[in-house]
Amino acid sequence: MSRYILKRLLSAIPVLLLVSIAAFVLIQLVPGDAAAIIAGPDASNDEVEFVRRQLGLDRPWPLRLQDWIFGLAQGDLGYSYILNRPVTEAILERLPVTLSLAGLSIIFATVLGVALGVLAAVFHRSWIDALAMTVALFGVSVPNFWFGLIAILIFAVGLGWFPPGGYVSPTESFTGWLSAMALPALTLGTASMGQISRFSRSVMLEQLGQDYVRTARAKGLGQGNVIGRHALKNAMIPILTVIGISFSLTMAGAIIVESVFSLNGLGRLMLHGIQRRDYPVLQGGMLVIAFSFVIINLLVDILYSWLDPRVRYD
Amino acid sequence: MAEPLLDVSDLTIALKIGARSINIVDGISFRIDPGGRLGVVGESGSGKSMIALALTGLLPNVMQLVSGSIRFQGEALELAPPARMRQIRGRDISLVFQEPATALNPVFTTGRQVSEVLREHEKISAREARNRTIELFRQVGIPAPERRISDYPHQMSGGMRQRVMIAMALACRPRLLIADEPTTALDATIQEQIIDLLAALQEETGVAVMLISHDLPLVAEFAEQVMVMYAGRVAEIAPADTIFEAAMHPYTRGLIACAIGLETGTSRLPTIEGQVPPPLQFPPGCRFASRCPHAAAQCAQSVPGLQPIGPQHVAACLRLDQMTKLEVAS
Repeated sequence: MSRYILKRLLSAIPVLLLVSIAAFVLIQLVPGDAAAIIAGPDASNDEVEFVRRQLGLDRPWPLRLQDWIFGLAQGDLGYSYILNRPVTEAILERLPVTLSLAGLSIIFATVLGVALGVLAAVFHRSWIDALAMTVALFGVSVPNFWFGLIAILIFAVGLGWFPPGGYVSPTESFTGWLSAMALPALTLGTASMGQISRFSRSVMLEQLGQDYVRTARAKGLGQGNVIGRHALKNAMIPILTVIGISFSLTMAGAIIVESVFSLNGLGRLMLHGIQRRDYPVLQGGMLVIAFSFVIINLLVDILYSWLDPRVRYD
Repeated sequence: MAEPLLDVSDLTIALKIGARSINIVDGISFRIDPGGRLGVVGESGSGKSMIALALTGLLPNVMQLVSGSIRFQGEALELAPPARMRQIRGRDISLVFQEPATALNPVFTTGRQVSEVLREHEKISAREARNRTIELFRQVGIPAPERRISDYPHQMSGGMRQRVMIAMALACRPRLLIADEPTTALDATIQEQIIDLLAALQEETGVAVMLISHDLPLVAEFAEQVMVMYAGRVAEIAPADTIFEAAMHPYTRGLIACAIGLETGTSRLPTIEGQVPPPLQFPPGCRFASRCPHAAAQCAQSVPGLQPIGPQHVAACLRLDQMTKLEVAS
């Protein structure tokens, strides 16, 4: 088991290296003179040259790639002349917000999605199935910016249960953090919840027809044990894949949801980066998001091996 | 005569297809004495597995127990609520299925899957369940049981997996063990080992065994009584030791001819022409009539009842009185 995890960790290294190079290439692909674009239309030639030197764009690309990779190894993502601060610092400041948002929304999507899917499968073709799948369809089809606005209108403005926006650090107040993140996480997780529940239903239906489920029943085990333990543990293996995939959906959706709930997260930082052509910030943000995918996939792989003994030994 | 352990009478199971309902098991009666060995033989589609599921209350939703009674130790199982059936399953009546590769849960250790039955039905500690599981593994002939209880199903061979299934079935010392094609998915040499194991364990524990198989010689070797089924009905029930000589039903004789052909290796294997009709095409009269070499006009119209032939021997054929003569003539 630990050998398997070590192997997975090692295989993540080349992926991370490739991602770093891809992020580097992004800047090189900016059409025209990147320094001129960054310096802005009103910049003088000297200013453009200054920016060029600062970004190191006057040096040949192999050297710049080397600098970028070495900088990365030390946690240095470059400098943003628009924010006037190191990119690493700006990202680290925003990262907890986005991680909270993505993490909570995935937890919400997983718990509710799997529960709805299992219920729908167990009560296949009953009203419970129909209701669960209606909720799932709603989740998949409703645009999250609209859902977020409605949630603010009802639960924040109308009922006053949650704040309409803003971020509270969990180190400051845990309940404050939860209450601040509740609506954004719900909004962001709804689409994934729908996907996960629809997928869970079909996987669970398949598992419930397996021979080992009949064996478990023949042993005299109760419904909860047969479904919740025997069938669910098998069903979780493919469901886990979908949870991993829906994480990418979550990261993309974070940009919109952070804007709706005025959360200063990574998504908004990147949105501003796009608007102001802050390429170092975009490069850094892209890299961090790619890293998070790699880490999530690594986690999924490790969870696989925990769930499925056949993965461990093969 | 002693009180039977299991007394099934007039058991009828219907398959619901839309508004239609077809009796895929049609008025079956049999009994098993405590410690008895009943063999059930039939082709696929004969309804033999459905009987096993009906006895344990595990019929799939599309199947319905229409009528008949199932008396197990005097208790009417057809009326028992699901919670009661749960207590009985795995403790008093246990099942061994055909395909041990899929009948075991791939994500739990085999040891856990056996001890789980013990912990469900007997309030014992995890440690005690573990010790009993090791003992059960040893009893069913799994080498190095202390180590093998931590094995997952995919780490075991087919024969070992079936031994695990048997250990699971015997864990709570049931009164009745139903083995549904326990050897069909296994190699020929392993088949024999498993049947020998079942026989040895049966003698050791005194459990009654209902062995379901399509393999007549295998069943006849193991069982005391053999029930031959065809398309959801009993064709013949006969003592195992005389069935090869005394069989009266044309279907049983057909099966025997096939089996003997296999034994002696004649150049052309005897077969029973045709196939079991699908449930939707069950004829109104004798269901075997379309394949029967002795069928007469009456066979297509009326359903044959079970006729006594000798001690412990009954057969359901309208032309029983002509059978001996017919066989000699042909």
